[in-house]
Amino acid sequence: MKRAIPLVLLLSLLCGCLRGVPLDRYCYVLDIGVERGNTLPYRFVFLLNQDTAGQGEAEADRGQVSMVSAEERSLFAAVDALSGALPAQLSFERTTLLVFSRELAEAGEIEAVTEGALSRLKIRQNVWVMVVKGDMRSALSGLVSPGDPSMNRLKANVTLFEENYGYVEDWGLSGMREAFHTHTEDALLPYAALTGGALEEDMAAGQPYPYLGGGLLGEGQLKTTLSGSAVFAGDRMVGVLSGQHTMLVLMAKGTFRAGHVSLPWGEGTIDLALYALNRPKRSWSKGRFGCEVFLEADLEDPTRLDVDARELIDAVQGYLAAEMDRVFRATARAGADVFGVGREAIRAFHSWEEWAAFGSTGWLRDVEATFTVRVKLSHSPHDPALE
Amino acid sequence: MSLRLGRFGLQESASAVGLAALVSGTFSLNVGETFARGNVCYMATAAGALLGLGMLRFLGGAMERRGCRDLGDLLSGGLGPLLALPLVLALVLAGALPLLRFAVAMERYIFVEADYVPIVLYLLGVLLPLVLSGMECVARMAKLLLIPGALALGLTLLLAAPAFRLSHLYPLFSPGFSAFWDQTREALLRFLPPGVALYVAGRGCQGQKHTVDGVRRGLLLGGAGATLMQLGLGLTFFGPDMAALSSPVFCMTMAARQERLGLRLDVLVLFLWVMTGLVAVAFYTYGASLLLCRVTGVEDIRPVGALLSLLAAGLALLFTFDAEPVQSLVRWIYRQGYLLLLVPLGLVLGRSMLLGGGR
Repeated sequence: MKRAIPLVLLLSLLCGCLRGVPLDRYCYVLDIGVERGNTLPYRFVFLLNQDTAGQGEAEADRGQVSMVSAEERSLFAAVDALSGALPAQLSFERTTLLVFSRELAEAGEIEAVTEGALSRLKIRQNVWVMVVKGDMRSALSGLVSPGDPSMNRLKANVTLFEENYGYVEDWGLSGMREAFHTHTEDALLPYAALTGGALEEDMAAGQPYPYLGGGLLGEGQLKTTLSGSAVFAGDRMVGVLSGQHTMLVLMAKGTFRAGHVSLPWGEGTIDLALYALNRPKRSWSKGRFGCEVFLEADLEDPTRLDVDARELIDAVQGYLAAEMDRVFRATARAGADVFGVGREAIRAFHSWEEWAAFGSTGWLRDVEATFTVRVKLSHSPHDPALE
Repeated sequence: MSLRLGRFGLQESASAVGLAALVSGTFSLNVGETFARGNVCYMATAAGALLGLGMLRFLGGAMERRGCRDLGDLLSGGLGPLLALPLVLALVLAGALPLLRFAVAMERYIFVEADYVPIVLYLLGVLLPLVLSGMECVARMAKLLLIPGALALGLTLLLAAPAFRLSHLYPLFSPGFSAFWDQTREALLRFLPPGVALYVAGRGCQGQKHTVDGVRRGLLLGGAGATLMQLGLGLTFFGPDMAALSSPVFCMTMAARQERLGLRLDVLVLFLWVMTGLVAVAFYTYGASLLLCRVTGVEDIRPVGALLSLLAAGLALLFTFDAEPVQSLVRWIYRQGYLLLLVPLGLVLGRSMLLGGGR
């Protein structure tokens, strides 16, 4: 035992640095944006933070963030090109966000841009991925605020946004790459755009005011706004879904936690807060997909005493099921399995070869989907959540 | 005589075997071939651990019947010393394979600007004193590191849990029964060495019963842990996706986004694995050194231990080369390496059955 204890201490020395490297030798790439180039195929925009001696990772929040860009044929070549134009070496150890332009996503070129380069540059598998509309430098600049130059708080906000509203789904690089080629679920990446653009209808349409990046009728500190999702079919972006419709997809997938819905009611609407009650029951049998969603609802409007609780439950159940069905049909028409029907369908197969052959046949268009929503009203019109 | 065997009990024996089985069962895999057509590895790992346990029980029974206190006794006489050589090689390889995985992961995720030579030398710097300190020290270290080992296992699964999906295991049994059987056989290279290493050092254990018991308990514990890890991997990635990863266990800790726990917890987990893994590698290397000393009559284990530690580290370094002959050799080791254990142990068991009880 006497010998063992010093050796345990010796083992702990493994948790150190292999050799001393001055911190100011590196420019840390925090975020990478990729868009179509003017001369060469791609333009890569890097948001950099250069450490000075004694400065830590968290110090990035206090400033020292700059933006550089290079046009090249690949990410690796862009890094090479920039190496001669920067006073320090680029390091991707702290990269946490990859942003792709809508144009590249629609051309199905994300995989071509990222393949190979990410592992060679040692970019981590759990970085955030996002699609933006418009010029990349402007869009990235629009996401940087004086109080949050490294966008760390913005990134954390995506998680909160997903948890509290369900208007976006948080996707990492490894999940996106899996979605691109396994046919079991298609990617639904967060979507952002510069504010001030025209209101854009999403794939399912029917929303008078779709919550979609760039089209929000609000003015905040950031010039780029994030809401809704870029919908992919395989590795190609085929459209967008508004925040409200993204929330319905999350409900059916089982990743929804909390959100709000404005239910059409007579001449106006009734606002309800929704919470996930249980995981949805999903089934697949010979081309039929069944999904039963369990939610809890709170009436947020204490003035609606005229509403019958049973009538309200029926109305919200019917509305959500019909909306889910509409969104499913719209996305399935485009060949996008954002509801993850493939995750259920694959269970009926006996080999990867069989599944791969089936997955590439456009099977989704023939799927008959049935959505059932069960709502428990925890605060009735006579006992509303808000007093 | 300086074999540095010392004295250790049942808990230390079971800990050494358990940690070694967990580390080998988790890391000594040819990821590219194992998962290319789907995932039956978690089932094959469980089956391989049970098959290995059965064989080791049989070997322990033969040792008991013949009154041998360790495997060296069973191998003495006749062609025994010759049969020990493939066992020594198998134990060194059993140590080299996890070292290779750790070196690859450290090069990929920690020391991003270093190449493999300083990383392997770095690992050797810990391995060498461990091996030279002897079996008692290794066994007691294994007992001490049971908690970090369990922590590494638990944290890996905890970090990956948000990415778990049952659908990742489908299509169930996709590679077919023949692949399952092949992988079960290959798993013997992961689960026989821990038992063999303890049987070699059996003389230091407090009683033969404790040696056999230590193998049984350790292998059950380590086999269950390795199966759990493989199941966790299966729930995190589709098999064909996993085949493209160089270090699936470490990718697993990064598969889900962990904003609240901090991005760098995966690095901590990697080092927990490296710490526990190095004790397992030291256990194998010490076992190989002791066996070589026993059959050659060398009375000082230190030069042999140093030589075999260097050999294990050198092999790990060699296996990082992309040259086709080297990679063919690596593939052969993963596929057929178990024969280095199975053939000599089979012959020894056959001879002991023919000779009956008594030495």
